[in-house]
Amino acid sequence: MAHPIVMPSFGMYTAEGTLTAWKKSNGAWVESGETVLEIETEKAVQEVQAPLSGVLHHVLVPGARLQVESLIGYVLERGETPPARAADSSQSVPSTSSVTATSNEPRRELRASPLAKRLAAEHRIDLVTVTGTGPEGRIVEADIRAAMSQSDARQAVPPPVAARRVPLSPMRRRIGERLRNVVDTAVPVTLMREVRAEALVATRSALTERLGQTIPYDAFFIKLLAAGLRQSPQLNATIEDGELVLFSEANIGFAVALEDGLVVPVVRSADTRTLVDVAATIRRLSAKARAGQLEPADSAAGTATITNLGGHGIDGFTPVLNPPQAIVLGVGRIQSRPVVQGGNIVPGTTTILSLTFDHRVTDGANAAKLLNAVGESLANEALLMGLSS
Amino acid sequence: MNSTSVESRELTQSQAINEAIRQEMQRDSSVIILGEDVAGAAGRAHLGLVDAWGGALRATRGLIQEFGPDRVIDTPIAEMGFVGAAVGAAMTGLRPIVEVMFVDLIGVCYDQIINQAAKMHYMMGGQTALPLVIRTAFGSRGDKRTYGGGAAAQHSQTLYSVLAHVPGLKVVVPSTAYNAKGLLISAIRDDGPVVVMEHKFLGFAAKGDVPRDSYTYPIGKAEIVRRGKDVTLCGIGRMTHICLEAADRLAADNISAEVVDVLTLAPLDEETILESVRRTHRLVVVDEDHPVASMARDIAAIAADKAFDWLDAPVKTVTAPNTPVPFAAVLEAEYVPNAEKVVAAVRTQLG
Amino acid sequence: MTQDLARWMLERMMLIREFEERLKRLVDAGVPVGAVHLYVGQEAVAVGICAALRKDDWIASTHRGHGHCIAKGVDVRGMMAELYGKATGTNRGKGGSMHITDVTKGMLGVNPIVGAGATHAIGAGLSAKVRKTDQVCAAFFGEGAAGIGSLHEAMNMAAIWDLPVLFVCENNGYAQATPVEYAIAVKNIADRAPAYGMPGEVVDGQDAMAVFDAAQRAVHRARLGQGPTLIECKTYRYYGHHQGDNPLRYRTAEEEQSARDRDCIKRLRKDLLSRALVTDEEIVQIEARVKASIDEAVQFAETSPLPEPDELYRHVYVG
Repeated sequence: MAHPIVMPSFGMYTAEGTLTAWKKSNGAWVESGETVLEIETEKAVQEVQAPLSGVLHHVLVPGARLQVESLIGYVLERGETPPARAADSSQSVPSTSSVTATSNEPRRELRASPLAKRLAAEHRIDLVTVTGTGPEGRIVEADIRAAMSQSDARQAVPPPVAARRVPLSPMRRRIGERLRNVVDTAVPVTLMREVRAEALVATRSALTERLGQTIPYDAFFIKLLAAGLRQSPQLNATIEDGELVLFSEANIGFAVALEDGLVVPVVRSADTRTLVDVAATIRRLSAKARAGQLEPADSAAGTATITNLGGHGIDGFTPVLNPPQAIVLGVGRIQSRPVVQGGNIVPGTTTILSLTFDHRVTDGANAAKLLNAVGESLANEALLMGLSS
Repeated sequence: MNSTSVESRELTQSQAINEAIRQEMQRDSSVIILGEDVAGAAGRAHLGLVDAWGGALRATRGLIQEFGPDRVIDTPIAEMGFVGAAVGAAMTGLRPIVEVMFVDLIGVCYDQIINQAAKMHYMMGGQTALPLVIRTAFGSRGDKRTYGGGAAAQHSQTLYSVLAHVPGLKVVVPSTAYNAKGLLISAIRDDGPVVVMEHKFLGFAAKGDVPRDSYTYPIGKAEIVRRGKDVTLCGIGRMTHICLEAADRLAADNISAEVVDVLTLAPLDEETILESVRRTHRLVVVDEDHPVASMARDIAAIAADKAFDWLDAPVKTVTAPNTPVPFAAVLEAEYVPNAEKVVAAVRTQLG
Repeated sequence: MTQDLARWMLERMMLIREFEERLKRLVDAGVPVGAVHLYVGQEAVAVGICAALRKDDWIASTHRGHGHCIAKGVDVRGMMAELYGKATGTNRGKGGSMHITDVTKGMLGVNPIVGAGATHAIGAGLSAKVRKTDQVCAAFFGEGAAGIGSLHEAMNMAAIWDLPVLFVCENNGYAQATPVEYAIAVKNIADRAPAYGMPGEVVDGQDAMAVFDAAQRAVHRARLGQGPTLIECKTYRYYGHHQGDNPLRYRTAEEEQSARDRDCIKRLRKDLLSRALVTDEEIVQIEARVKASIDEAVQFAETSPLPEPDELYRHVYVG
């Protein structure tokens, strides 16, 4: 059993000393009472004897500064291994491997109140990222609370650096406000369906040849949507003051992209007009729009909208509602795509229809019914041809 | 506190103390009072001269007529002797209230207080009770007279820290007429030695509603005398009034200060103070004693230890400077803590 | 007793009287000098004792010390300025009435801790003995102090070491409001002197010459290394313990009047006139000089500057 050799208190007032020499070497056998080491105190040089017989084990080296009861060495039994060096706060050895009580953390000049430190630890905020606004630049509770609400908002990720700042145009601002309003009030859901477009393409081609003028694709979609809304009148509606307001007409707007924004001129009573008439209206209003001469009446009273991004190479998308309307039909590009026919994959022509509806007004099944009506009509050449009369 | 009657009227602190002593002397014939000129004109009753002085703050006026010279005893100038006599009397069946005229004279009888009274019960393994009350006047003026002076270095000290320092002694510092009566009655009924520190400049100034009936105020309880949420101001004796004045000034700047009246220095009611600091997160301790080894630093250290994780600013103390009390009024005014200094300390904590 | 000394004694007593009476009027008029303990009526004791001392001798005093200061030669202007709490006061405004000191005049300080002065006095005696000078120290104390322990310790030590100390008990009959016949077990405090191993005598404190005689004998003994003496002067203070106290609560008006009938200044004047040591004209001149001194002292105090704020922090530690 290892017996410690400690610095004695050589009288009431001696508190410190230095180990000046080992008198017996490490591992030597010592007899009880034999002098094994020398300590120098402020008063004198004192000898320390082995407390019992055994194998001497040195812990400290000469030069070590000692306090009373500092551990200096052990007397071991033969063959015994010395105890592991436990952290001994009373000793210090003047060598590079000194065991001073300080930690190995790098020093940081960070001043924070105890309360701030506790809150930072509790909320996993790194004090290095916090600016102190307390006296003498101290981080105080208020700073941690501010950091907490910031990190809630931004997940502590710094924003990208701005290159330049451009004020919003009035149109941009207005569009933003209206669409913001939509998000705040309506519940938009988008249904998508890929439909065969061969009949549409063929009909348009035939009509173009027969009439001697190009019928825009939009004219077909406006007519079909209007017809579909006549069949599903509860979708040709809006929510106002907690009531469902059903419109009496099917006025279909169509989105026209301008350089700095978007306008939506309206084809009134699209369901009652001929295809040619609708086409002419589209042509006229588009020209007005591009010339910047659209009047308010041209865009008024819309009850549903179509928006065609096919010309921009878009397949399908999630068109945003045009408030206060409940229906917007998005049209993607008419494209050669593989289709399955008779168990084989063959080339076909399709387009993807994206119908966004306000879920406050109706449910998906009804919206799907409308979408399917439009889609099936697109595949019906006879029906399409009949639109022109 | 317990009070059995609602009837109360306005008394000064000295009058309240007088009433406490009178009621206890009526209630318990073993209570006696001794000190220099606690009555005055001793031995001259046959000349029609009696009750010529009534104690340092006139708190014992009128008692000798009611209780006689056997129980209201004028002593020669002999503090060591008569405080020692009070200790002996307390060990042998009486409940003496001994008056040391000014706390500055405590040095003359310090042995009897710290080596004898404070330690008797402990050293003797609990054999004897020591129901001794030591009353003494303390404190400086600190008002804004422009010239002249006060009571100077040997008659203006506070010194309660050297009494609270000694284990076995209870030390109370009343701040109002109400708690003065209650604390003194508690002290008289306490079976151990209790020092009651009476502020000279509250004696006739502090007026308050005091119930007619006898009641006690518990020794060992601090009191929150004003609720707040931004900082705790801890006051002792007259300094509690200074803290309240500072709290008013801070309120004008939307800073809400809570004021804690310490009342008992030993045993200190740590929990009331700490609970307050845990809510307000800031502490200023106001003490007119010398700063070194003072109650202010004692309380500050307790807060720094036990309320560490709740502190949002360093604990501040506002005390007298480390000098004797000067005579000149202009210097004494600078010496004593005032509301401005307390407000300034709070501002260093808030930035 | 030379003529010069006799005149000096009369003038000093009148100066003390004028200083204290003027101070009383100032205090009653509201000048805030703090508590003052007036010496009026006891002038013969301070002056009789100090007449027998040299400039390099010392005195230790009590709270009722203005008379001792003036008798020992402390400047009345510095004293008044100190009372006014001014920077030009003897203690730079930091001591006030109860601590006036001038070590250059051998005045070790007015001291309100009862019995403390006596211990300092034997210290001074010890210093003279160790340094082998023939200086002496007179310790003034009231009969109330005859109850306090430190006085007995001081007297015993002075006797065992043969210290050159005069223990001067000013028995004015009252310790604050406590009469001497209640507080002291013996009729004459000087009767205790043999118990301390020193000679003692009782002197009529209203008779300046008698006080002087007793002092001279005691000083002579002391300078020869024959040790201390206890001189008990029976005297009387005309006013209360401190100005503001009403002494009729503890003593009779007849007693006060009887003391005034034996006024020490009147008595000395009469005595010196009868021995042709002073003339009436000279007395008138003395009166005028004394009044002028006090006028000047008050003027000096009123116009002197207040202490600087950082005076508060000076002299806490020595050096």
